Amino acid sequence: MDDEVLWIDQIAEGDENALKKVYERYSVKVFNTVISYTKNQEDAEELHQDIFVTIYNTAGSFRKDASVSTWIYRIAVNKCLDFLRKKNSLKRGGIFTSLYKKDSGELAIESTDFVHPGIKMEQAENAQLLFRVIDTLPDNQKTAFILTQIEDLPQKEAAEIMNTSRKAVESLVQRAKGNLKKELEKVYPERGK
Amino acid sequence: MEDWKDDILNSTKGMAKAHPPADAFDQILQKINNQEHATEPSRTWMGIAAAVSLIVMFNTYFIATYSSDTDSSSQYEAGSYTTLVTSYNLYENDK
Repeated sequence: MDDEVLWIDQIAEGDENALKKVYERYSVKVFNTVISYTKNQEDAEELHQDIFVTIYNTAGSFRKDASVSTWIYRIAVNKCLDFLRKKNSLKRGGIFTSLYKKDSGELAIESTDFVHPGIKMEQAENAQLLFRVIDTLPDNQKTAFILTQIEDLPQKEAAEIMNTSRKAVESLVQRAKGNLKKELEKVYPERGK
Repeated sequence: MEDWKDDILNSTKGMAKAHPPADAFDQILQKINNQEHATEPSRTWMGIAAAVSLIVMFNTYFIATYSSDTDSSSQYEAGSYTTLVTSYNLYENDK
């Protein structure tokens, strides 16, 4: 772990080899987190690159009160949430108005057929449904769910990334699961029959 | 009845990791290099602006210094002229 802090210091001085070391350790983790938010391969690739450029640009401001892992995940989560906000505001701008419910103006379920590249064949259909409803969650519930249930991070680590307590993460995950179930019932009422 | 929803929520358990494209790191380096080149022109313009500001400041300083020197020397000359006149006023002391 001390190596990682040293690498960040070296990156701050413009060392691209140190960036390569951090990239090799974190690129897969970051990519998987990002793709769970974007649900789109091209957007995930773009954001993934953007995150490592940000790591390079902001290495000098890394404060050692958090671990390098936590710091990188925070950058990734913030970038993903910003990306989703921009995407939603573009839609609100009228480009994709048909995706909105006519009565309330709320974001309707996107007709995305995203299948996570790592998903097992027999789970593909269910995972597709999950990724369709996940965007209905508030940001903090979505992040707690993605980090702990999809990326399998321990609650303690998710709590550090989200700058909150482990108990709070546990509660957010429970609420997220409850809301996802309600949404699934609403969107796919025929499944329960 | 809850099973189908739990199945969906647990559908990502045990999935394999997705991998970024093989050339992703090269593209990251390219982006970093591009942004460094993009900042060069602005640095050049900032340098030019700094040089112009320095020239203007020096000119202002020299003009201000020159005019104050001129004022003080003319005051001095005026004072010495009075003294000179006073000292040549030969008949005043006789009264």
